[in-house]
Amino acid sequence: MSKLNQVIYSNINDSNSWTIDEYLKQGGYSVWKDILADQENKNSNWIIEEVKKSGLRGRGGAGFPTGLKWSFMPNNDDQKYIVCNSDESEPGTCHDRDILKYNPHVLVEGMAIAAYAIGATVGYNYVRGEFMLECYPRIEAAVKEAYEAGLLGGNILESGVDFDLYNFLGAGAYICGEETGLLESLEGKQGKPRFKPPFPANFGLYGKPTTVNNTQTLASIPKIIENGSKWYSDFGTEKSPGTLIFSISGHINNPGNYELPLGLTFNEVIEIAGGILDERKLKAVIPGGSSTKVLPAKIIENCTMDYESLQSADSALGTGAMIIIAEDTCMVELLKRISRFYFAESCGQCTPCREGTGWLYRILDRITNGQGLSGDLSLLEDVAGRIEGNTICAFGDASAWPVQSFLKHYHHEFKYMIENKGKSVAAG
Amino acid sequence: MTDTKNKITVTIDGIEHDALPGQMLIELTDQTGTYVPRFCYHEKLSIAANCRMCLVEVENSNSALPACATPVSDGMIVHTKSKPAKTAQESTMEFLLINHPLDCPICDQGGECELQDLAYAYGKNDSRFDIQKQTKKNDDLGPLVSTDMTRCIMCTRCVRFGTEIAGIQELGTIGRGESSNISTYVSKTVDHELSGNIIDLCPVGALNNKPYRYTDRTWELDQIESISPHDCVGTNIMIHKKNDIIRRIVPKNNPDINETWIADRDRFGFDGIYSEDRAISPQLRVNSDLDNVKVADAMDRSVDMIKSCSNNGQSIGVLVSPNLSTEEQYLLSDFCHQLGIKAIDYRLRQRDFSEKSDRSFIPHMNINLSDIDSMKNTLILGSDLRKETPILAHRIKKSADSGSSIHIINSHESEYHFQIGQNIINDDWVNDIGRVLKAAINLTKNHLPNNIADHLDTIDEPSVKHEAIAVSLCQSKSLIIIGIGAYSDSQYQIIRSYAHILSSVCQTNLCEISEGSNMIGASIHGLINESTDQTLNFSEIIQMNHDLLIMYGIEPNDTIYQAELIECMKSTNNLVVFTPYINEYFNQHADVIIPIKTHYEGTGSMINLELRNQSFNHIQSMSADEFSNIELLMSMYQGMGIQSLSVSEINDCIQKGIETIAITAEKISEIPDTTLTTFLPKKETIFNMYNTDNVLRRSKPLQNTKEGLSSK
Amino acid sequence: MNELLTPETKKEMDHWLNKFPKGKQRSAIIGSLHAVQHQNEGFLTSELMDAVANYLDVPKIQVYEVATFYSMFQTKPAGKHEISVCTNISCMLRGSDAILNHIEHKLGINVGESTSDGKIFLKEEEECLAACTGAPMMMVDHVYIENIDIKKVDEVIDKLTSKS
Repeated sequence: MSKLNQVIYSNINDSNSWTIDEYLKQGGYSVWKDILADQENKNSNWIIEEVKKSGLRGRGGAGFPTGLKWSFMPNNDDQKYIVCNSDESEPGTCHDRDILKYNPHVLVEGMAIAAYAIGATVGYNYVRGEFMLECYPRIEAAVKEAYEAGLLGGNILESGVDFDLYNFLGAGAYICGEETGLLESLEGKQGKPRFKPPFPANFGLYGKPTTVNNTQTLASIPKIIENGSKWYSDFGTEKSPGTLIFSISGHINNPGNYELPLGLTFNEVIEIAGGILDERKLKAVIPGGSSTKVLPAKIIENCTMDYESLQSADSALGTGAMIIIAEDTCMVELLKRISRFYFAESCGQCTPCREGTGWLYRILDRITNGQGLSGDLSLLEDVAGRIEGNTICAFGDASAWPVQSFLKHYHHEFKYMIENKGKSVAAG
Repeated sequence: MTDTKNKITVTIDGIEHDALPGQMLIELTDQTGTYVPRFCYHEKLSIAANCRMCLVEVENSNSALPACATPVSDGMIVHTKSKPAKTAQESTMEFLLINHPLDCPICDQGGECELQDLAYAYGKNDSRFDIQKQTKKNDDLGPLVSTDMTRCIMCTRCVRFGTEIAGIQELGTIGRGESSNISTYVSKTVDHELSGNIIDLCPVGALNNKPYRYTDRTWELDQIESISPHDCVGTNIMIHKKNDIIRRIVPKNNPDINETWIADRDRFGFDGIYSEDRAISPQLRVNSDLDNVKVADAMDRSVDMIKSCSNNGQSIGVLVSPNLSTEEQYLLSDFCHQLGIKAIDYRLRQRDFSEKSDRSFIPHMNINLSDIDSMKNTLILGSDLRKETPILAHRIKKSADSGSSIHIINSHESEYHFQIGQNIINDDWVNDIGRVLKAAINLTKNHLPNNIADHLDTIDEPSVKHEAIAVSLCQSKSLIIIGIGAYSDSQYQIIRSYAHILSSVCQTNLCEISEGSNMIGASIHGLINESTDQTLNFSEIIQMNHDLLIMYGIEPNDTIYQAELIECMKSTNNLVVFTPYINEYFNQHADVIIPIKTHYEGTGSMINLELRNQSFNHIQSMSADEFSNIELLMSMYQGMGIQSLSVSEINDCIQKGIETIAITAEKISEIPDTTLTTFLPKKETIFNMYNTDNVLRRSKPLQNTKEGLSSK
Repeated sequence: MNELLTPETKKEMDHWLNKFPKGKQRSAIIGSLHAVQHQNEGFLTSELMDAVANYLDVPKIQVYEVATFYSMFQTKPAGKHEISVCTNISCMLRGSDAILNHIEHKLGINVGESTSDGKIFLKEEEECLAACTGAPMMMVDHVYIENIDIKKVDEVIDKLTSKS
């Protein structure tokens, strides 16, 4: 268990871990203070290089290298923004919630350092609306404490550095997890993603250069700077350095959030989480949130939990939200539920996704109602293929991939249900 | 954004083209004549990239890219008709059609529907979508625009029009996903003066022309180019008619004037010509009744009346509409000139005539309408600009949106949907203009004639606000606009002199909005015959007792001197009216009524405020007993035994007149003596944009709008 | 129109306004709608949305767009206490459907409806509520309750219905 919770979650079980007193006691904000005191050596370039060397990749699902993203910010006098994506909503994922709840100050410190590195003087932390009472009060209190301690605001600790940080509360829309949808929402609009280019680094919040990073990504920063990029990268593999918080849910004995080095075998991870629920047999895993492609047991059991291994298995590490599916689960019903979600959450701006997600869901619905037609499976595949790649944001792809992968691996279950007027293979 | 220096090369469907960095792919394909299908893209609106119809294949990209939102880059290789491009386009088309009703046979858009056209080109014959189609709720958007939202494909052109062009968000996307719809949410009517343009923007039949709804199939209509007669802008329109009846009016794209937009009154105003109170038959008063007679009889009687007037025309008054064709105006003026009639005027809304010389400075603008877009500093004096000239106001908004400073001095607030710099609203607003002038003179240290210096000593010192406006105007690309509000103000002459001198001092451009659609045309005769100094003005004419009063194309509601004009009509011995409409005053007081055609039924030319001469030609088959307005006027000449100019001679005069105005760069340089008082009409009038002429006043759709109802 | 907003609501709206640059008051729409919905015990009305537009000085349609886009805003009358049962994939695997069924029967309403006494609104929750490791879970008046079973649900609802 020594592998567990070594970076972001290292203090998660301490009492009052969310207070500034406790965080300071554990050496919190020392990195931020050091940077402010030694700006000549610990300048923007140095920080960005450290983050690049650490191999940290965006933990929101897409896995884009963080240091590289920061380096895209223009070097000019324009107002710039750092925005944290705490709109955690990829089904299966709930690790940012624990960061906000139990270690909010590491996020505040991480955002301050990121802001300094990219030249932003204002930051917004976009927290999903449903966290209104669940963890928003903790992060709001943390920001207040940090201001009171003189660690945020104008001319922080007489350093000449300004950084104002505000928390924002969303109101229930999965699409706001997409970074440009999030920016629109932050501007007080419907969270409809923007077409790109221009990218946020050039045209972000209020049209100004902006970097959007995920909560976990930003919360990793203080320890990376404190202990060095090598310390961090040594946790994982060469190509997938560092740690990732796995949210393990579904048919598992000890569901929970586990911060683990990347590159452990699937079986090691399952063992840490107590094994498959009630000694049942593993049927399948959705390895990185509901948008990633489902993998049958025989494939995932040969995978290591890192970017490369899952990619070569034709899925993705995504957010690290492992949804464990035991035998006797009806894959048709499961896909229908996933498709219902994408249908309900499509923002509706672009045609293929607005029209296609409903079409997919309705075909699945009639299959489970015993009214499936023989051509429905090829139709599902075709419609999914026509959404994929044709939309403004990745949501369209995310709605197509589950359909494609469920049909690829469990075609027989769908066929059986159509032929048997809605009866599931899983029902025996 | 577009960099004209570095040309790059882009290959489209195997042909290399020069392109500009920063240009979007669709602009290039449009330029080079490669058609890429689209719904949401519109050259006048921001990019939405949401319909996904313009997806094309770009080599080295792993998915199809929208041509509307993909910037070109050097060496880019694009395929618009390859298998991947076609598949992407056909996929979008299939998605668009799954929830679109198949009601083309009863849809007004049928035949000119972008979706219908593209469905033929990119769609399949049968639908694989065998599930219940979704329907959407309709909102009542008021009397001008009908809604069938189930047909909506969510391209959001109408929403972007609201935000970007109208400057007011009236429509929005409500809800999310498949059930989202375009709505005002709580059924609010769309009140903007340009709102009808969403009908043209809508690529499908979701937003349609409400008065036109279910009347014709579009392919049965004939199309005629024309000019809108409802303000001095000279908006270009297309008249669509069937059997000589106008069915609807749509914009004619003219980048120099109205671009692709027209105002609602340009679109719906024509309805007024089908009003039930049209004057049909010539009438003569016999005893106390008006009897229907032949045209010739009415004309003969009118001529007799003129002839019987004593005193070489001095006892005849002639009041003329400023909305007539220049040809009509010219003939009328010339007719009076030849007969020695001095009492002729067309300035129905000018209040202050204290300065005689004002007829030598014809109100107009000394730049082009399209130049307004690039103005950096504008001062608007005494204007409800959006109501007076919606198209010009739109250009001002464009300049404001691109960062220019717009300042306002007026007696009352008007609603503008752009950032206003200095906004001085004051009962004593005329004095504020003087203070700006004073600030400008201080700033530029201009040497002034004593007359102005003495006058300026009598007014207050400028405040910071006045100075700010002066500083702004003294920069390059500045413009001063004098509105109809100023024109109808009791201190018009002083406002005008302030504005002219300010314009000279700060070296700004100047735009004077004139009343009616062709006031400049009306001034041409006086200008080139130098007869203006002797003629009387409108307020003088209506205060006189005439042996004969001739009213041509106007009715009492057209003027701010309504009550006085009615008195004048009562007191005159003989009243001859040439009018397209009958009203209670004519019924009571006219001795001869001669029906005339409206603009929409005539032929001729008009000069807009930038001195652009445009002709309109609404050829209409006329029965044997009908006469054009020109023919009627010619027969007056004949009756009086005087010679009229030929049409080509008139055209030469018009050209000469325009040149005279354009060449005279001179501006008013003296401040009038404020002790001279002028006759003022009895009550203040509010400018109502749907009550400015006799046709608009009778347009049912416009009269049912919020603005129309507000004048009731 | 501003009199429709209570002093507490206005204070909350000002709190949001203060977070954004001058002229970016549109950003405060979402926070303001939360405050107004709270004031009105669970749902928004046209009048209240107009009041928000007026107070923030933004076009009304901008407020309507936001109010109808985000699932946490109710633009139709809804019960005072809001129950959301997460039925997304992780919760489904842990039996959320049976729990939702139970609640529907217990309250005598379908998901998406409110009880006739206006006390409880059973919200249609299609989004994942990000408590997957505590599945099945539900949210009651924004409070997360995890690892629920029929017994726990009964306790919670009984407590709610006995409250005013």
